[in-house]
This record gives sequence, structure tokens and C-alpha cells, in this order.
Amino acid sequence: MDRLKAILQDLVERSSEITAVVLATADGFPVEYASRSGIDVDRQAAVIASLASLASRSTEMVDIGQPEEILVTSQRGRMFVYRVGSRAALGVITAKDITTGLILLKVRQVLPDIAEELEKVLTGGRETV
Amino acid sequence: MGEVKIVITGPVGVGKTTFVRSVSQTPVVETEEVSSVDIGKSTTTVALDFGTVRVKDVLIRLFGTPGQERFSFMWEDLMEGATGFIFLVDSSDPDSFPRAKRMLQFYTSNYDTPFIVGATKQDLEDVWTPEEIAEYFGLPKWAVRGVVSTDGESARSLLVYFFEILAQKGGGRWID
Ligand SMILES: Nc1nc2c(ncn2[C@@H]2O[C@H](COP(=O)(O)OP(=O)(O)O)[C@@H](O)[C@H]2O)c(=O)[nH]1
Ligand SMILES: [Mg+2]
Repeated sequence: MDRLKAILQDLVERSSEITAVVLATADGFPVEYASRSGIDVDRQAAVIASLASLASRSTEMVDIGQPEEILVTSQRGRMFVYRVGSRAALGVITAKDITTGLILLKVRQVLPDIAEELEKVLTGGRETV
Repeated sequence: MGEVKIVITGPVGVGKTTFVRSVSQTPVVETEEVSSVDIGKSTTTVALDFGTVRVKDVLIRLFGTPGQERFSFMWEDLMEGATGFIFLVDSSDPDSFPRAKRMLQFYTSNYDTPFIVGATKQDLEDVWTPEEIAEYFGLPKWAVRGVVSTDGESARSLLVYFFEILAQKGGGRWID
């Protein structure tokens, strides 16, 4: 199993509150994902890219820098989006009752590894999942 | 003074973002991100373009869409409350016409919103004329007009033309 898949799989397996993670290019293609159940990864990747871009424009406009974390709290769960450099974004879907700060901590731990692996993928030509 | 929402749409690379940028009288919102595949340009719109422009006493809110199909959820979201849409086609790239036609059909089959087609890049040589494009798309001649998206005046005159047609036709079926 390639390393990127392993990192994402590990994130899901070690955290019962995380139901899915999707790594998308900034222009909305899926790079890799891990999920407890079926997920429409193509559509998710596009939506994650849109969210990440809109969040950046929103915070730039009010001069508060780049978003560190985008949190969408929904009726039955939460969705977090993190920018991975300027070329990608990571979407994390979780259960509703979670300690939100914990997700940021967990993602921060693996973000450098993801960024490193992503660099290889993006320079070596994009693979689709 | 009235306000309207107009959507600027069409396939990738036709000049939607350029159109909004060159015609807007206020700073635009763009969502350009680096493209990871070869689409003939380095960046691509992933959510929307936004700008505003006054034509006579009407404030137009312009919403540009992404061109790529995987962002089609934005095509639908942005049409919410739109008075009309301008569908841009790249007059210099007939290879893109079949896809453009399918995309236009998406709009015309889901919305009965008034629209015109803007035949962009009319400043380039050997491009299709608006008349030829109208014929290809099976549209009346008045529904297709040439435009140069990079030129603010030209972009503006396309909007003015759209409003003239809107005023002339009033309600009823848009295209028979
Ligand atoms: N010559 C010429 N180039 C144009 C025109 N409109 C757009 N372009 C160029 O076409 C490319 C794609 O434009 P863009 O606005 O990003 O297209 P979009 O994908 O529809 O948003 C850019 O390099 C523009 O400068 C036009 O009317 N004439
Ligand atoms: Mg664009």
C-alpha cells in the first residue's frame, strides 16, 4: 500500500470519531482517501477544493490571513477542511460529538507527512484513485 | 434602482473569469487555483468569480462559474435567483463545441432563464463568426453575439445587449 494511503487509513483507523478523509488537489481532483463506508470521492474532492478556496478568499478579504481550519458543523456530523500548501486540501468527516480541537491536533501531526508524499505525487504526475 | 443577478458560464478556458474581471467596477472575488492537469492554462476557477457593474440604473451582480464538470454543483447553486445567464463559447476552439453544446443543454433543460451566447476571442484570427456559432448550436442569430473578454468595453457591450434583448422580449418563452 502506498504511503499516502497508509497515512490516511491510519488517521481513520486510530480515531473512531473520524469517518472519512479525502485528500484533493486544489483544483478538485481526488489524490487519495480513506473511509469507513462508501464515499463519492470525485464529488467530495471537488467540493473540498471549492470550500478551501472560498475560505481563503473570505479570510484574505477581511485581512485575517490564511485559514488554518475550516469547520462545518452539520446536523449529524462535522466536516473539517485543511489546506495542504497551495496545491491541495484535506477534508475530514467526523461524528458530531467530538472534541473539535482534537481533530486539528491529529491532523497537524500528519500534515507534514501528507505534504511530503503529496509533493512526490504532484511532481511525478497525478494518480487518480 | 434595480438589482439583478447574472451568471457567466460556459466550458473551461472560454474567458469567464476574464470577462468578470474586465467588466467589474468593483474589486472581484476570484477562486483561481493551480491546475494539476493540462487544460491549456495554469490555473482554474474552483468555486466562483464575483464582480459588480452598473448598466444605466441597474446594479448587476455577476457570478462566474467554474467550467469543469466536476464543479457542476456550483452551476446549480449559482443559478439560484439569477435573472439571466450568459453562456460563453470560445470562437477559436471548435473542438470544444460538442462539450459546450452538452453544457448549454444542461442549462436550457434545467432552467427556463433568459440567456444569450457570447462568442469570445473575436480578436483572434480565423475564429468562427457569431452567425456560424448560432447555426452550430441551433440558436437564432440574435442569441449569439461576438465578444472580446479581455476588453472591458466589449464585455460591457455584451451585457448592454443582453439587457436590450431582455427589455424587448419581456416575459414568455425565451427561445422557440
Ligand atoms: N485573445 C483573447 N483571449 C482571451 C479572451 N478571453 C479570455 N482569454 C484568455 O483565455 C484564457 C482563459 O481565460 P479564463 O478567463 O481563465 O477562462 P475561464 O476558464 O472561462 O474562466 C486566458 O489566458 C485569457 O487571457 C478573449 O476574448 N480574447
Ligand atoms: Mg474561470
